[in-house]
Amino acid sequence: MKAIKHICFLFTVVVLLSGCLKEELPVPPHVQGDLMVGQVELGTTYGLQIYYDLASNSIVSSNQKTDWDLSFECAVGGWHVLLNSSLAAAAADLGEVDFESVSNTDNAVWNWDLQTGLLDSSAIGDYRNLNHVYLIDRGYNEAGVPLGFKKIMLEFNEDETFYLRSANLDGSEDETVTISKNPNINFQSYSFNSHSVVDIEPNKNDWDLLFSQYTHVFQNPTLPYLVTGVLLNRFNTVCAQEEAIPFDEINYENAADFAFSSDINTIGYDWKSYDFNLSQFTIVENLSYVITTNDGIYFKLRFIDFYNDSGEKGAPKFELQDL
Amino acid sequence: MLRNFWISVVLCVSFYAGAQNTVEKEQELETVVVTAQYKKTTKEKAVQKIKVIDRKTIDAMAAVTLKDVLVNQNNIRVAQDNVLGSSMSLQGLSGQNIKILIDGIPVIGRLNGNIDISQINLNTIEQIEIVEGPLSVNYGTDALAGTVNLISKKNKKDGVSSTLNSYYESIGQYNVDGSVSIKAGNSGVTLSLGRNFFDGWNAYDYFFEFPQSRPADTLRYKQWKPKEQYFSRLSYNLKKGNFSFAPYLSYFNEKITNRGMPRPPYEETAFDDYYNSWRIDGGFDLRYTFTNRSALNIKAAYNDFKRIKNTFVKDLTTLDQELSQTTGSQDTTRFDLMMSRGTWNTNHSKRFYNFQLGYDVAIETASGKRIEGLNKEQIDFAMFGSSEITLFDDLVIRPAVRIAYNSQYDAPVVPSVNLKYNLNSFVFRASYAKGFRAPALKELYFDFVDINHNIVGNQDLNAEFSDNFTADISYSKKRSGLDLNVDIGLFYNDLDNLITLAISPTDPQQYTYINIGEYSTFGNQVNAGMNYKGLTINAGISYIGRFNNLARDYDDVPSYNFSPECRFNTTYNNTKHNYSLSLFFKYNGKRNGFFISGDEISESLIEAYNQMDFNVTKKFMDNKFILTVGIKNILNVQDVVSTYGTGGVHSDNSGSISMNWGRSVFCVLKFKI
Repeated sequence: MKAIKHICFLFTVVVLLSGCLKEELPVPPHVQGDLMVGQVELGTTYGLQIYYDLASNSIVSSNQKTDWDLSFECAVGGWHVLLNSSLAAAAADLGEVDFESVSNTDNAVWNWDLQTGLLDSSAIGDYRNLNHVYLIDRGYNEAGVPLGFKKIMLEFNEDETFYLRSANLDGSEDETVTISKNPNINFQSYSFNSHSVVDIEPNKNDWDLLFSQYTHVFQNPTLPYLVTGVLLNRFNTVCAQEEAIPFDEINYENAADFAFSSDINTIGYDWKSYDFNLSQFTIVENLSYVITTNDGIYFKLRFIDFYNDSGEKGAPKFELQDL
Repeated sequence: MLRNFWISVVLCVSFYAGAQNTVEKEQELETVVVTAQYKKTTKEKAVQKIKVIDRKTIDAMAAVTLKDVLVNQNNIRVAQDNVLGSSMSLQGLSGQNIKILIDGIPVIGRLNGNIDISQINLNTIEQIEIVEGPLSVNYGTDALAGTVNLISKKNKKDGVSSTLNSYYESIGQYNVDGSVSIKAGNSGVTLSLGRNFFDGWNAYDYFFEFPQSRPADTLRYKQWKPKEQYFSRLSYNLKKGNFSFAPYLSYFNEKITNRGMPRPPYEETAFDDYYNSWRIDGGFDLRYTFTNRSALNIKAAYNDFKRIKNTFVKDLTTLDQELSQTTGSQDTTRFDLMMSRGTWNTNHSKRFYNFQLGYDVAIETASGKRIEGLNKEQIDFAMFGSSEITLFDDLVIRPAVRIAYNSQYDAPVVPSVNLKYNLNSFVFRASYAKGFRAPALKELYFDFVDINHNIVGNQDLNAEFSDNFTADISYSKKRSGLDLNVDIGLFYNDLDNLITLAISPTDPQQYTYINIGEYSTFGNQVNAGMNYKGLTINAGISYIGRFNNLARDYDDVPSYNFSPECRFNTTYNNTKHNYSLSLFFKYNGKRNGFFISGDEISESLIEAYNQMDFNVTKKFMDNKFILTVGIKNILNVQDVVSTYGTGGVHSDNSGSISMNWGRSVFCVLKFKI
């Protein structure tokens, strides 16, 4: 009998001393107000490029980033040729050499287009009247597979057309095309895969932001690195980054004093950072952007997520308001 | 009580009945060991130096898992990972080189090479035997730095007996376990069950904080993750004359809940991770003693380890959650081991030599997302033999060798030789042993290629080797109630062929595992213990040097980084009033290392830290009810500063390593009938 009493006592003690993980209580949701919310999904391996219009808060067009390789400036008098920065493509100027004799990348000194979009610092540079052969490292696709090399020669003709000769390093697929300008867009794209021009960029008046990977060339040591972020439409779109004034308090009046920049990477990639302790991307707090679109409208924008509702990364989500 | 205890220790490890009873009586007050022995033998007589942590010490420390005991041992360092658990290093060698056994059966489930020693509960364990230096001849791969063998409790008492234990610790540990044993005639059966629950801990938690529902805000994220373990073991044993048979089945489940940090700016969603581990182990131990006294022992076991990680996206405003679709957020790892080890040895106390022959078969399977083909198997078959030769009564020489076949790599031949020499109160031991670690299935078949990673396994890997040299002198004296023992030991480990992740020789874009690393450690230790009228003091100092790879190429880098350790334990046992007081202290010295950052050589540093616990135990009601209360981590050591950089005031690469949760009080209730 005494033993039973002891056992009852002990069981009581044991029960008192056992715990379990309690359910949590929900937190109240925030009040959305009249902010617009937008989200684009580049895919978890960032395979897409997405052109976005702020006024309508909608996607204008999207494409696989491997759909094109080179792009040709369409502005009147423009002659620049850019690489596909979203693939970490690079170019090397081999000088005035025999096109057929180029068969390897041994002497290549690689250059990348500048992330700011500055055309005078493009990787290919000024090729006009030089007869130089350029090597193109096409970069790598979203699975990390290198896309290979091409050798090219370029000319810019007086009739505002481009001449492009390209071939593989073994001499195969040697072909020449003429590329004409499309006055409605900033750059006309060309694909080595389809050996033809491809329509990638929408009408330059129809979009403000490009969500995409792009190559950021870090200095000391020089390290080209693919980052995921937002580039501006270089046609009349400017942007200011603001840290001091909270997003809620930014208005038309105080935004006028902001320092606007036309660097296409003003928004860039660093509004998020990777937290190694939590093993996830977090949005940098107190970073806001004011964008003046080419219609002259001011928008304020801030990022609120890099994941979609299913927890997949590569899905920048932002709040947007017309000032 | 003390006497009863030792009798039970002797009984519980006694596999040899009948004729040896007289011998056993003489050994009542001796510590008995079994690891790598021909038969149970006293610690003093064992040809290897074996450290023993007995049940009394485990209880005095109020230790719940293997980790709680090992943090107090010299030459052992325990590291914490919030998710992977507790890992140990021994003699300066990492956990992948340490074999952990339960009754001679390997514990599986190595994640990143380490076994989580906080998953090994001690509720059914009678004593822990630690052998430093390789036991690769007996136990094969991984037994390179050393072996930790946990010996289960055996059924002692006729009739029905039961135990009920509970453990509460103020940081939020709520543990309970119990067992029922029935023994009648030749056979006995024991069932034990237990549950450990930990509610998670942050540095800013209140001293006493009981689980409660609270809003899902930033405080939901815990530095030490909430953890719940369930474990049970069913064992049976039959002993009939010269024959004994003991099958067992055990089950373990652990769930770690990592409630994520609410994500800014609105803190309305979080990524929650759940880590579920299962261990299911079953097997038997069979022994037969022939009339010529030679003995046969066969063990066979099947061990299954599975770990599943799930990540959920949790909406904190509704508490709804859905599985995350991000690649890598759901993961299953599984290991299986089917093994059998058998030995046959002679046991002539009069003849000057005895020998042992044995086999060891293991079929190991690993499966997981990042294993090539998702599933790989390796078969290992080994034969081993040894002989114990006694010369001039006092000198014992034990040469041994193991040869093996492995389906995946060229298994090495492993020799060892041990010497023991008794001179009055002194025992000298010396040994040379080769140790090896087989390439793990992951190292052979890893397959992790995506945009950020290009790592593949290497099927041409060889085993890692070590040469270990150990020398030890022990002195012990018993005189008029005073027990005194002192030992001084030296060791040297030289590791070659280390499997290292490096740029592939065939593809510069790819990383793979290659046998290129070299490493060595050496050290010494001095331990002293005394026991006088209920007062026991054990103290020791050890000093370990770890080889610096950079020393070969850079003159200003020292060849070895030295780090001291020191322990001091004392217990006062008052038999008159049935209480005892215990203090456990361990000092872990500063550890440094060197690495190259950019073009410069930098020094890394982990600061020294201390661990100190104090407990009081009181026994009531004829020892049926035992109460222990105490303080853990008296010095409140939580995070230890670690520096990576050139050092000095400008170092901005200083971080901290989680070592322990804060100071806490605990209470243990034990009841047995």
